[in-house]
Amino acid sequence: MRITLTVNGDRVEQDVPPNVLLVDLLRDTCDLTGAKVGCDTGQCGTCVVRLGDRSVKSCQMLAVQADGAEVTTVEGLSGDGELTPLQEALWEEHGAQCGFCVPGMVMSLTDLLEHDSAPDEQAIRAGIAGNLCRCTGYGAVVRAVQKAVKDKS
Amino acid sequence: MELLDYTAPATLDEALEALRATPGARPMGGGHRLILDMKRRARRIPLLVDLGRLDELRGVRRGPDGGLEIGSTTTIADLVADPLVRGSHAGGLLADAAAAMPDAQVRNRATVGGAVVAGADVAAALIALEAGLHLRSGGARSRRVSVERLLAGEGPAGDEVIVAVEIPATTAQGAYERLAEPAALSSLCGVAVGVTFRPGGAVGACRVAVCGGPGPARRVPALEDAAAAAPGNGAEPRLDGVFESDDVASGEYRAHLARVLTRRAVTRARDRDPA
Repeated sequence: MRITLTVNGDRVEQDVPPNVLLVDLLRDTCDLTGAKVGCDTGQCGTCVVRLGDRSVKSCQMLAVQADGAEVTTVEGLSGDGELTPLQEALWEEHGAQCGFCVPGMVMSLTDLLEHDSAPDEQAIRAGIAGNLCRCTGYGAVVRAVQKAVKDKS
Repeated sequence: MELLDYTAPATLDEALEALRATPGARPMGGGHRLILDMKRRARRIPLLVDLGRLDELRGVRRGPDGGLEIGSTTTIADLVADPLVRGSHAGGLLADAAAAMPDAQVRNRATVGGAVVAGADVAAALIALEAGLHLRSGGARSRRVSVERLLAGEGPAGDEVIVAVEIPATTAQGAYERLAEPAALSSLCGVAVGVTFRPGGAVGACRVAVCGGPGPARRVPALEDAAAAAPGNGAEPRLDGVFESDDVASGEYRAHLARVLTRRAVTRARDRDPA
């Protein structure tokens, strides 16, 4: 099936079989490996990307469902080599240990902060309910979001 | 994945025709459940009919009787954020139940119609709200059935599409309480109530729906009677055989949870009661 979508601002036109997942299109065809396949069952959140204005799990979506959509991956959040304020705060608060979950965390938290400019700790934790960190570094991630919120205000 | 073909029709009539023309074809809302099933090779689907492009199936409207008409592909995130829903008696209960879904990303894709078929927390809430469904199938056939009856086994048939969820207007207040299983965070037992209170706060009428365990969400009359009895004036409701056991919890434990959670949910609903 021929689909056309926008990925990080670039137009992508591609023939895909119906059973290809969005995450596989992004990684294998678009060469964007920020979104990862961790569990492949929708629980771990390493595959989170933005579809339109909402974060979604790209291993739980067929690529053909994204026909006509605007997709943003972690690579498309800021300019080359630059960090968003959230990413900067994660860096400073040691929000990344092994780093595998971080692109998904960043995409979920970017969505959270776009819809709630001043989340409290409970809202932050709810915002990453769909992201698993095997290093269990949640405390540092929560502190980083609190810092990003504080720095902004 | 065992998926052979896919179509995303632009109109409902085309979608219904596609379902009728291909035996085994399945309609898809957000797709979470179907995609997982296909990954596990639990299903082989000859044709997926994606309802995601049907604008006519999305959004919340005020119904002719003052209730709510919710398009079946409205996402759970859009449902609980909708001003009509938030301003209605259903808002609190639906927000409680939606919060029980795994995470924001699932709520961003999952649809109301899919949540009905899944038969979990949101379905229990809709049963407590006495919600009905409008189903369509090819050849301009149309029928209405309650969420309760649908989950009790009355469909949907393979070529039927849920087009809308209809919540009648009422003065009942709703609330949802649950206990989550600690690892997967699915509900061991969830209880949705729709309650009308008498002046002074006593329970008038109460509708109770539960979820958790192998079966889908359903009403439990024994819990309704217990909730409506005057405090201290009723024996503990008997729930023999109402809950099934599985490898996570016994039916007896779920029944205990249901009694406790019903009391909590009624209290929560009373706190929401504007009177």
